[in-house]
Amino acid sequence: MRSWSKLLRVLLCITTLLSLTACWDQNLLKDVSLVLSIGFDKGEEKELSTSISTRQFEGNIAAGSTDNAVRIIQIESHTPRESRSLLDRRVSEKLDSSKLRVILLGEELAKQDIFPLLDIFYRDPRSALNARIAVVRGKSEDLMRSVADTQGTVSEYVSDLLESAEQSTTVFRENIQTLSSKLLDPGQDFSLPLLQTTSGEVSAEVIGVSLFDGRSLTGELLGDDATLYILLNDRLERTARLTKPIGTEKEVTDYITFEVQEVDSAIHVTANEPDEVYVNMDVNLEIKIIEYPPNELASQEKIDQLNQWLAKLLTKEATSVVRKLQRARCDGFGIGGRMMAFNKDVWEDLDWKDTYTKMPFSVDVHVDIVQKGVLN
Amino acid sequence: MKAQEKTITPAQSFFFILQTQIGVSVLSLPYVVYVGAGTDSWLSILLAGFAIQLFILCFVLMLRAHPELNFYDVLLAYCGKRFGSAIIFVYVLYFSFVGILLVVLFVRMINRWVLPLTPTWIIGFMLVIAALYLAREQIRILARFNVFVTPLLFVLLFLITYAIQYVNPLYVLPLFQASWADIFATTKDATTAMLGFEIILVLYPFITGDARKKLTAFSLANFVLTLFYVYVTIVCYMFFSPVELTLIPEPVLYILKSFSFQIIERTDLLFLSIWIVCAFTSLVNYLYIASAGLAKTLKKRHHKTVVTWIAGLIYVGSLFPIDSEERVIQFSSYVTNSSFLFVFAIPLLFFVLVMTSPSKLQKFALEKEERN
Repeated sequence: MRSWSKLLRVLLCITTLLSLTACWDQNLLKDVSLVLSIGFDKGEEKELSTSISTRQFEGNIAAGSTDNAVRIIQIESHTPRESRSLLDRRVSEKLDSSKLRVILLGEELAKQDIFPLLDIFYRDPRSALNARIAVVRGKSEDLMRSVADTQGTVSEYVSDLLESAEQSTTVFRENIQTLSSKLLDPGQDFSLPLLQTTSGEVSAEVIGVSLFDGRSLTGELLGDDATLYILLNDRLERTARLTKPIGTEKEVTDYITFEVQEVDSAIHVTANEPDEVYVNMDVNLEIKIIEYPPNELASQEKIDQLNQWLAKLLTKEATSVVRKLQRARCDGFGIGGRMMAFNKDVWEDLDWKDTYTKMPFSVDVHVDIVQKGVLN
Repeated sequence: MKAQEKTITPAQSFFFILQTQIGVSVLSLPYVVYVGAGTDSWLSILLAGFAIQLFILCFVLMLRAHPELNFYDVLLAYCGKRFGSAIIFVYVLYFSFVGILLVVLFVRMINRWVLPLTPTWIIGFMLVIAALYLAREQIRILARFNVFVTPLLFVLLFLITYAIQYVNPLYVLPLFQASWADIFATTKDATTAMLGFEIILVLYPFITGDARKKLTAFSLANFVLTLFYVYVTIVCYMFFSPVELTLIPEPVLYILKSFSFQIIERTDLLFLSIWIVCAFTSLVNYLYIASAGLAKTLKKRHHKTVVTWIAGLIYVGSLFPIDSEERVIQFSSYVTNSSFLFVFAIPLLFFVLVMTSPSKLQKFALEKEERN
């Protein structure tokens, strides 16, 4: 009996030691080529054109003498997974997208259902669900090449660009995980950052958001409209800066620039009957003036006047944003979701998107100047 | 053998039960019940917790009169030596099969999420070997281990709470979309994730203190577990949109996968390596009660001698259904269906017997005392 257990103990030690090496699932950086950004466009011959950016290591990594130029490789295929396999044949190392940071969709392609493109990212346990995703005006491949030429690195530049746009409340903070809920939710539509290739020193810029109806692109909001749309959604990141005219003249002194300090947006959905659905939105903005050349903020009267002027202006602009959303059939405020939660019976009787585009939707913006810097 | 090593305190029994109940199944629980009753299925979990509370009460009432006897003794007392031993043996098989299921589910989880290339038999082998190493010990050592690893549950609690900033509470509204029939039917699925409380049938005589104290510890364990499950489930339902939930079989892991902290990129990997311990304790506890039963039928004084055989059975058994999804699901439904017989039906029958004719058990207890 004793010798038995002793033998067992020795065997245990050996087997445990053997199993500790874990040599099956090692994934060494030297054997893989990291795909950090990926772009999808409509292909010419096949359904899909995929572009990836990888860093090409030349020379001895250990010696430190590397020339790590970014390569853009483009290929046509039927599906995203097939393109991965085809690309793998062109690259000496194994492609690894577990550190993916940016997914770019060409405008033309985004007009189709985008969910099939993302399937591989949701299915693969190793994929990076925190990758950012954006739509590119024109072809994403062109943008990637342009960025690679001028900036040296695509993923870092584009994801920093998107991050700063998120922080200035120009686009929604969205990654492919947060997107998946909205992609699959009939009561809510989403919008993605819209990028554009530019010429000259900078190679890409965020120009607004693209609007989606269900899973496909149907419209866009540019510049201040995008910021306003996010504010209407009761979301405010670090800052939201708007420059608006305060008169009819076109001179520098006729503009005011302010930062939104706080936003409180309430949506009231009235839906008692299927043919009587309407929405009221109340938005309260607390703003801080950061540029106002006329310098006449000493009196409360003047401030009240400005408050009213801005409220009127922003109400008008917000109403136009809402119209654009309705025209794009993009339920970006999740009104369908509210109705599913609170007026389920009515919602079930509706062809929701048709109702949405036609229903009355009023917006009322209130502005309150709470700070004006260190100057009157 | 010192007698005190064979006892555990009621507080330890609390952790013992909790750790047996929480295993791999919590990671897929929100999905499993969602399929049954949609976003209302957290109600099913509450109902399941309530039902289990009733059974815990029955078990304690059954074993209260003779605190030195456990359910195995009850079987021997009412079915005679030979037939009773046969039933105990079937129970041993049942507990072993639960062990097999735990290994299979866990190995598949690791295989799909963390180690896709490592052969499954290696992962299973390491798990069973480690479980054997602990299950050979006295019950007090097991209990201490169960207490020791319980803080790990806070990791899940923390990570799930962290997810709250991304949730959309409208997803769970309106309440009561599912019919009550569906909600009640789903209670069955919820119960399978809460199995493990039946170890009190075996552990009862080892726990010190009077029946009231024991009942409090058991109920508290059940209460904490039910709340924990309901919380995890509701957060999952608010995190994922309803359509998405039908696509994600392991919602809890999927939530973690999208988080990225300053120094941790893939939170799900880190979490799974911690969760191994929680799944492991369930296996150890089942291994222990199975071998305690086998030792009783073979009239061994100590479970140590038979625990190796059970561990071997569990390991070999886990090799069979591991490879195809379909067989795993089939096997899993066999085991969970039989659990209704072994955990609910049979103990309930003997509860009635003990209540109606307690004299038989009394005689058995006296005989046992004389023998010692």
